[in-house]
Amino acid sequence: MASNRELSTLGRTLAEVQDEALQGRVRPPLSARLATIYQLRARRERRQRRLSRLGYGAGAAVLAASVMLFVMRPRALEFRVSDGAGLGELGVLIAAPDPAGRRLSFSDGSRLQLQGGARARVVSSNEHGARVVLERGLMRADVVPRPHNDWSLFGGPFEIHVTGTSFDTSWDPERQQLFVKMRDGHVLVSAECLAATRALNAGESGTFSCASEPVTAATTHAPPPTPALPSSAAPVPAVSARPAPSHPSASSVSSVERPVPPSGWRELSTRGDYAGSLAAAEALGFERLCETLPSSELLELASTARLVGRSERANTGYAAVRRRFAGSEDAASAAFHLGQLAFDGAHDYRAARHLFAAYLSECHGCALAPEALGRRMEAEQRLGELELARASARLYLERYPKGAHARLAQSIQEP
Amino acid sequence: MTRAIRKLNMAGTSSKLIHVVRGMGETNERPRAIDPGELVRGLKAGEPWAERALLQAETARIERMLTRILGFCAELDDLTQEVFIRAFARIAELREAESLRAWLGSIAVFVAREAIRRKRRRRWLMFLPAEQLVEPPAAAASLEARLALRVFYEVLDGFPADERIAFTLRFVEGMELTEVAEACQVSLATIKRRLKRASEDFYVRGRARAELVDWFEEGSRWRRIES
Repeated sequence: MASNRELSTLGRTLAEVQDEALQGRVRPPLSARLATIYQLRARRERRQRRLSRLGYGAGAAVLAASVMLFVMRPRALEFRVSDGAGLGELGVLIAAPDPAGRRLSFSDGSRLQLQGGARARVVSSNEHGARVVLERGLMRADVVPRPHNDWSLFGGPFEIHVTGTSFDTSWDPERQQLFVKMRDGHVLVSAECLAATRALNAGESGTFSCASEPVTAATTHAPPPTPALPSSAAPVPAVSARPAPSHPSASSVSSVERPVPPSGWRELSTRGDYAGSLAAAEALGFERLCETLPSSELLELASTARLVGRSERANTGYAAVRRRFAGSEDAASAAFHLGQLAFDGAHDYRAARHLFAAYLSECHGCALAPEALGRRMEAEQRLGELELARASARLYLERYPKGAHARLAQSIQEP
Repeated sequence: MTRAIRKLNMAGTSSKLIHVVRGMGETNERPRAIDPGELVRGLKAGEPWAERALLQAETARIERMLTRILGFCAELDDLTQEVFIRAFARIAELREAESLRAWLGSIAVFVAREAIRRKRRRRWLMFLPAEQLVEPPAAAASLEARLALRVFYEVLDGFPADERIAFTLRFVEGMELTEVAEACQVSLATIKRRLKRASEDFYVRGRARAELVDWFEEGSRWRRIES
């Protein structure tokens, strides 16, 4: 950054050039300037009076029409968060750190229940539905069926399109896995890495991943109704792009693909007790763990700290991943999460933009690319760098025309 | 005008007296000090002598502020006029006579911000290239300084309006941070953030321009100063 000394020296020199020129400037006489000001002022006052007169007549008609339009206008859905005082805000992170979770109640009667440890944000809404990004954890969705319903839930690169149904879903950003378990109705799951859109009907469940392999999708039939999200219903493989794993539920996927070693903090984290997990890690020596854990576990530890709001610990952990495992997919993921912390926690949009850009340039599987590009665009918009934001918006709409940030991208492109 | 005089003028935002001419004559009358309270009472009553007095006392400062923010521009007279039209129309909103000058400065900042945005909109709508700034008729200034001045504002054309305003008032006009905050009607913390961002951007964009590179410490100008 330029020093104040440099800038002051430059500024002083420029000011002297300007002052010299201003001193030699010929202005109209004072009385002429004053007369011009009075003329302009009088003209504006006349115009204002004319507009007011016109306004009174037209105003009544316009007002009546406006009231009608206002009453009859299609209203975007609004929502409330269970422990929030007022209406929920679009784009704001909603976290459910405690086991009781949080409920989002929408004005059409639809409900989304975030389980303990889950995080989500409602990124847009209209009269037909909302777009919700599940950043991590489990969510129970009960969407009221209505004509022209248009609801989308996003977990990483996956979009769950809902017209009116009840289902449970979870997104695990570390393992890059989406799990959907239907209770009623049907949904469509799509992603760039899926060869085709997958339909899930009542009683079916599916696990979707495109992180480690080109495509992994498994759908299974499970007996409805489902009392709780982590299910132990006996799975029957139904559809699979490759030999499907026989562990369709969220809990069984975790345990089969990534056995939890007997280190206390990981067990607690897997059970959703993030505060307890971090306390256990602190007891073992958080800094030491940052220097010794393998990359995937270190990423998990940093995410645990992030989930309990310990952003300084999360920053330390993610920074260690980037330092120790530079060039790896985990290092790229760490850049993404550091970007989230900078954006949501510190509101440092410049740093966030840099970190999301780092993720996009370093990632291999790039499962978080839609979210990273969308949030980079949002950071650019908040920084007032509208040309950059427009360029990002154009790119976003080219790549993810139905993505969670598509509406924002459109609004940036067409101010 | 030297830097010292400019600093004195800036300090005038809280001065007790304003030197103006009272009466209807032209500027050859000798200025006399008018209490700001008396001046503001006159302005609120729509007294021509008060409006004339304000115009006479403040025109040069307002022109200077606008020039600092926008660079030399062909619309300077119109924009200066606009500042006073708004000031006369909204004088009833001024609560403390002592803050008359600061209040007028904030109107100038507002008008300048509008001018920046209008220029951008016009350029964008009509697909016009960046406008050429009016060359300053400052014959005594070195060619190096005049070139730097032109390129300086070309670089600033890429800045968000609010950052540009904070940056120019701080480093070209030489205002204190609190004065910049007052003129922009935002908090000190906001001004610091804007200045930080603008300084970073200026460092990146300014160093890419040959006419400005010597003004940074790694440039030959600084090596000359240091030796």
